[in-house]
Amino acid sequence: MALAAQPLVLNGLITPDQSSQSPAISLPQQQADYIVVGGWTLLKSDLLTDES
Amino acid sequence: MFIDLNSVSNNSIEAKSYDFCICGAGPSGITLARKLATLGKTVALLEGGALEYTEESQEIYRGQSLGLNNWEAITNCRLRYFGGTSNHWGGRCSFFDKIDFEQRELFAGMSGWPAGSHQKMFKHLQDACEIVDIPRDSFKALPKSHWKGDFFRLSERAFSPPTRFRTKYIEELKRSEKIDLYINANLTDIRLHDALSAVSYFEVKNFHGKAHKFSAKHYVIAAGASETAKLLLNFNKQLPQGIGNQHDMVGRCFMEHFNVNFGNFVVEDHLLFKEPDLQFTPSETFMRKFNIGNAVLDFDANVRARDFGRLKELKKSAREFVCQSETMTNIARNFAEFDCEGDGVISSLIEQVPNMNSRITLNAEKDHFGLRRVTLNWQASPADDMTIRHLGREIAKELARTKVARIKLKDFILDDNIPIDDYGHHCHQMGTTRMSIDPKNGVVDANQKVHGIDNLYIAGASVYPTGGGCNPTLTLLMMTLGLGEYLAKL
Repeated sequence: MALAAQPLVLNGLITPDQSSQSPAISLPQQQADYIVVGGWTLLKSDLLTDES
Repeated sequence: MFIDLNSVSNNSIEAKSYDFCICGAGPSGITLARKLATLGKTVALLEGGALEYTEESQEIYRGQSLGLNNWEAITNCRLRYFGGTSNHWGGRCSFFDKIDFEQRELFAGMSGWPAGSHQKMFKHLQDACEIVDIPRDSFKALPKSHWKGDFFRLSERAFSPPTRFRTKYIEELKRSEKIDLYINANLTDIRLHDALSAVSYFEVKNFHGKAHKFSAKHYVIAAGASETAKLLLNFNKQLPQGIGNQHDMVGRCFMEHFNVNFGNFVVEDHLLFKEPDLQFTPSETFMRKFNIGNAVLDFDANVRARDFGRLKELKKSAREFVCQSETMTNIARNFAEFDCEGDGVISSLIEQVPNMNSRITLNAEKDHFGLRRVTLNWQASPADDMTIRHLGREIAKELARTKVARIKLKDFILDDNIPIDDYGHHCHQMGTTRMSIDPKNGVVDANQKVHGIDNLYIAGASVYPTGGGCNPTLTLLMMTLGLGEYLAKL
């Protein structure tokens, strides 16, 4: 089952252009977006992968 | 020759004169004495303590802490007997990156290393490695790795056994024809000539109170960051503000390396974590981009089995139950940290920028020799917080993107509004008599000579204008060898 289907409480979202705490981040791989869940910095794709 | 000053009751020492008199027989003082002796100079090497640890000597270091961590380590980080703090040194060796020698915007107007420091220092890398028994070219033998990061690289480092200077060098010094090693020899005053621009003699007392005068052409203090500041501030009979303190710089810019616990991680790339001592250092590009300091981030994964006793076996079983149960794991890990295999904690060694308000002063209490004790007010700055948070946030992203690990950061890393409450330290005391071209910015010049005093020098990490992001001992040895080479030519 894809985790993205579960209701999640997101503590924060850090993406290359959405971090309000730091200057715009020019990541080598612009496609890489990150999501912070319960303090864990995850790839968005982590939540879309069904590894069960 | 070896002399226990506690057993000298006459004035025979006043008849002697040396080329150099060095206060402090830790790694810096011993290395300098050996270098000068090799170059044909005579040296009086003064150790305040004995050959072994004694409470009587260690107690001299006792001080107060008003700053971060209520830092009791001011008393116990360093050891006050022959061999100094090498007697409990961990042995990890690294060196400054080129960027660490630059005058960086990060320093907010404080001066950095004088031009040419990098080249001058690194001439002595191999000799410094030999002193602490690091095999030749160890730094080139980094583990082969498939790590392909963008903002971080694997840290370069090597390990000393660690070398205990007391054990390794005592017999050599006892036999030396050039070096007289004095123990229980405590520097209690520096007397200047009438013009107040040169040292006349060191006043040195044993623990029984007997005072001796040590005369030399040149004098060096190699007593560590807090003790060197303590001595210079206390010696105020001729210069009311203390020696070398005409611009109120002695004791200022005390620096440590922050040891912040960033949080926890789970391993994805097990192959990479099989390498021992996995550590990451920020790239120059990254440091420049965010205007942050240097660092080492240490990923300590729980991958090895341990030898437990009965009680520990019980705890282990309970832990395994927790770790192996997906449901329990998810719930329990929100409340406590378990050493589950494949998990780990992230510690760090992080540069602190020079900060005028992070300083050592004297308090009213006096030590055995009547010298006022130190008060440490160790302070972090907003620039330090910025370094800590950027390092944490970006290593978490980079290890996720490269499929190496997933990191759970502490709240104070993720949220600027939560104060950092975990400024740990490494017992790396630096600054307090910083090197500067302009006397207004420091205490010693580019040759480590005290500004305004013709024949007084300071050796050791107290002269670092900035601390970089690496363990300081190898840098200290390289600098000391360079100082010895310079002094021998005077």
